[in-house]
Parts: sequence; C-alpha cells; structure tokens
Amino acid sequence: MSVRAQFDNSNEVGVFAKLTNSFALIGISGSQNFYSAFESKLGGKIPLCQTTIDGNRIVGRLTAGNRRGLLVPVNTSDQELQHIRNTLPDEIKVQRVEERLSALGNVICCNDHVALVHPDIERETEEIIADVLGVEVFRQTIAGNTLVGSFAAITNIGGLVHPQTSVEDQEELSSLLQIPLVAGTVNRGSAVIGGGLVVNDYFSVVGYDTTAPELHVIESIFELNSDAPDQDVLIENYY
Amino acid sequence: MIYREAAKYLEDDAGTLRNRIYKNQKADVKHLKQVYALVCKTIEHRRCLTSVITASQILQKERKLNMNIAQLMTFDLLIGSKRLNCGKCAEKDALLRHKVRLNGEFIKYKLKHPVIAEKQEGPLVRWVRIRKDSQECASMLEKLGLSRTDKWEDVMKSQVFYEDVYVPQLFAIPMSIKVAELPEYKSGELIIQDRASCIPVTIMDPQPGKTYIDSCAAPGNKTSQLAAQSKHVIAFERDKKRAKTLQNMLDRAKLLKKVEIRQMDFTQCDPFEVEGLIVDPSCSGSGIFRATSVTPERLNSLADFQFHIVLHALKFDAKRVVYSTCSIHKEENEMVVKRLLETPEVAEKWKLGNALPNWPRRGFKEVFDGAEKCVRVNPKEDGGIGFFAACFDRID
Repeated sequence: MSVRAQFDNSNEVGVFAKLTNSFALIGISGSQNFYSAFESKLGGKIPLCQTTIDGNRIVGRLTAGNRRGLLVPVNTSDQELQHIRNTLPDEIKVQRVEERLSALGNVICCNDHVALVHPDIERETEEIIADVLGVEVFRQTIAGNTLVGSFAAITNIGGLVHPQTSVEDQEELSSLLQIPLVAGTVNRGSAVIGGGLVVNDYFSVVGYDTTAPELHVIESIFELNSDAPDQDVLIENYY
Repeated sequence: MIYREAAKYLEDDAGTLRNRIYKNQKADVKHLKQVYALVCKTIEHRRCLTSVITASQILQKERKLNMNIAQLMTFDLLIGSKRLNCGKCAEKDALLRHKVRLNGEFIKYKLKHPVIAEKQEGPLVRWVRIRKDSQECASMLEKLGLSRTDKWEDVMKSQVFYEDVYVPQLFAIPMSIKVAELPEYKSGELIIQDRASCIPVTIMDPQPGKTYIDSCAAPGNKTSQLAAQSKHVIAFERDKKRAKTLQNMLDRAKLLKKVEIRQMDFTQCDPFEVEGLIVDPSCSGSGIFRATSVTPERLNSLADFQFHIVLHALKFDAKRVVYSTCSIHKEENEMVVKRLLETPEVAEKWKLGNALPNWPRRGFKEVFDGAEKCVRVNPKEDGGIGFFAACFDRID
C-alpha cells in the first residue's frame, strides 16, 4: 500500500527518510505526523530509527542501504552511529564510507541485488557497497544524470526512473537490474523520483502533492496494490 | 608467475601457439598445458576482455598492469576458475582492487553482447573423410544411430549425418560422436579433415596413374587425400619434426608406399615434370579457431613468402597448380594471386582456372577482375574453418 505524507510542509519525503525491506531511517521533524505515516503500517514489523546524520535531517539523501546493510557518510557523528547501531538489529551492517560525494543517497540507488552508482564514485566506496550491501555494482547514468539515487527509485519488484529516460536506456537498465522499469514522476510532475518517494517491496510513502495517476503508476510498477485493502482504510473512506 | 609467462605468448609472433609454448622444454608438461589452456581461452574471449578492461579504466589507474596480463587475469577472475591462480604479487593486488568494477563491466558487456560472451569458439560439426564408397559409408554411419540429412546445419542440432555435395566421400557428423574410438578411424579409413581443407585436392581432381606434388605436406591430410586418388605423390616438408608427423599419418592411412617424403625446402628443389602441384604454405591462420591476431608487418612478410613459393611451383612443368591458405585476409589470398598473374613469366604460361564452379562463395572481385574464379570458405558459416583456394591452369 501507499501513503501520502509531508515532512514539515515539504513534499520531498525521500529526502527525509530511507526505507528498506528490513528497516527505516526517518529524519527528526517538528511534529510526529511524518513518523506516524511510517508507524501506521510498519510499526512493530521492522525497526524505525529516528535520527540525524551529522546534525542534518536529510537522512534519505545522505545514506544508502538495503536489507543487508546501511552506509552512512564519514561525517556521521559517533553518537548518531551508535544510536543507529542500537536501534537496528545486529544482522544489519552499518558502515561509514569515506567518499568525496558524501550524499550517498544521491549517488547510490540500490535494491537487495544490484546497485547503480554515480560514475565518478571512488573505487574503495564501490568495494564497500559490494561487500556491505551484497550487491553487484554498476556505474550508470539515468537520462544523462549522474545522480542516480535522486532520479530513480528501485525495489526488488520494480523501478521508477526519470521521466525523460529514453526507451533504449530503460531497456538497458531493466536488463541490468532484472526488474521492470517505468519512466514517471512524483509530486505533481517532479522528476526527482528518489526525493519524492520512499519505497520497499510492500510499502511506499509518497509526497503529499503526488496525483492519483502518478500514484497509480507507482502502485502498479512496485506492485503495492494488495488485493485485500487494510480494514481501517476502508472504514476511513466510508465515513 | 603464470600470467607474466602467458602474456609473452599473447603477443603476435611467428609460429602456431602450440609450437611456441611447447618449445619451452625446461618446464614440465603439466605447467605448459596450463599456460596453453589459459592463452587459448583468453584469445577466444579477447574482444570481450579488451572492452571490459577498457571500460573499467584500470590500466590508467594501475601502472603495474599491462593489457596482456590484465586480459589473462581478468579471464581467470571472471570467466575461468573465478580466482587468480598465483601467489601474492603486485599485479594480482592491482587487479583484485578492481574486482567489483570489472565484474560490473563484464555483466554489462554480457547484456550487450549475449552471444559473443557466452558462446565458446570452436568447430560446430565434425567433418570426416571416409575412404569407402558412398553406400558403405552411409550404412556405417547409420549403424552409429545417425540418419541422413541434406543440410549440414541440421548436424549441429540432431543426431544426423550429411554427405557433402561438393567434396566426394566427405561427411559431417555431430561433435558428440567419439570418432577416435571407431575401428574405421584406427584402421585409417576414416580421417578427420575439415571441409575447407578438402577443397584443394577436389579442385586438383587427381587422375589415377599420374604423379603429383604436395609442396607443404605436413600434417598430411591433403597428402593422403591426394595419394588415395593418384598413383604417386611427392611430399615436401621442411621441418624434421613435422615430416615425422607426416610419415606417421600416412603410415596409419596405409598410403606410405604411394608417397615419397622429401624432408627439404620446396623452393630449393629444381623443377621437373609432374601432373599437378598443391601449394598450401604457412599463413596467418586467421580462418582457424583460436588463431592469434596478426600484425600488418607479419601479414606482408607472409604474403611475400606465399608469393615466392607459388612462383616456384609455377616453374614446374605441370598442368595445374592449386594454391590455398587457411586465412581470411585478402592480403594473403586474392592479392597474392593478383601479384602472380601480373608477373610476366606467369602470365604467359598460366591462367586462372574456375575452381569448384558450383561452390557459392567466391573470391573478392574488388581486388582484381577474375577473382570470382577463386574459392572462399567463411569460418562457421560454411561449417568449419575459413579458407581460400585458387587454381592455376597451364595455357595450352
């Protein structure tokens, strides 16, 4: 299922949160509304970690991760790292990465099997990605953009890419990732897919501005439209 | 280190790969086998390895590596044993630092070129020449569980055999048949010979009761084919070791009585009267699977050698001279023929005969007018190695 949400009046939910199949990282906001959007569906199922990275709330753009691990930039403070390690189970490896391109969420786009990375990423980082996240790493661009993490969102089921990605590029990426891809937008026409939504194999949170057709595309490519809708959703719609 | 050693053989050099590697008598055979296998397989995948290494830009970052060593190591790491079989050394460390990148680029390459990366190079079907009449051959092959087909391409897919329409007594059988265990192979009646290399003798069309010359005889497939159909063959072979191979081969085929082996350089022999000559000199071997790449300089020196040996053959008092190579480069083929036909002493006595008129693939007309009289065989497409043959007939 999908939920529309805002983070302190911003629709860019992907900037302030990171969602994987085994945990979620959520930026600390003024109100609990944003956290509630996650907790309503994921609470008690996977750990939700409210944190900052180097004092920043933009945790979604600064980190990269999947079911197996989490990569955080080098300037993450010791306390923050300790807090994350305490909240997440031991199986999930948390690793600091010394990378010049420190907004790891912008330069890495991954699911549990493959990672697309910025073409200029350092070799050591590439190796850490392969080791910690257990993925195959490919240097790629998306529609000519090097910030693959900003302009694409992928899960093990499907992927949404920049609306101007050519059909040939989509096919190439699709065969590389072994998942179906679609070009689309979020937040009423925004091309910044990674910034506008967070998604895992069974849940997504999208920006409040996302239109119904956009949401339909998102739900069908990520296969989020479950056959039996949640009961409370039905009741809410009814009254 | 095996890779540093193998890298020497990757560079183009004279002679076949096998000879160059096994010439090294000091090392033990097991080690040489390992080197040979590594070099062969790396050459097979060379195009893939080159683009993977170029795309990953490791040569710019690692000064310790060169292209050849990187290719050999990348082959082992990605395609072969999936690990590097050597002790700790600078090259190994350098390459392993880029393992993730190489793997990524390799997967990308495989997606773009699904066939080239996966498909092993090598023969598709096995061509065998059987010295029996057509009926007997057919019944013998049927006994092996093969049925007849009229397209050689079918042999790749199913248990069938194909009788060639161009070369008599030639059959295509599936690679799965273990030929070496057949009694016919042991008795020398059945000989494994590629379709293309049967063509020169077929063009010669030997007559029983006449004498022929094979100027570059070893290993002797063509010689035995020629001897089987004629009265007497004089086989020239310069190399002592190869002459021995030739003798063994003919002995097994029980044709030694018909063949006179002269271990000497053909070009040093004074011309005399014979019915015909077959000239199949050393070539780049670019039509053969597992051939190494060839530099323009080597191609030129080979072409020059080929020109002189055929020129010598054309001095003989013969009715027909067949020139052939297992190369697909026009420098060694049509251009050599053109140069010969432009030589006055050749032009006044010899003309280009129309070789194997039914064969569809002809010489390159754009090299010279009349080149379509020559025969060309493309590797794989025509069921075996690449080949070229031209036929010189004496002007009466």
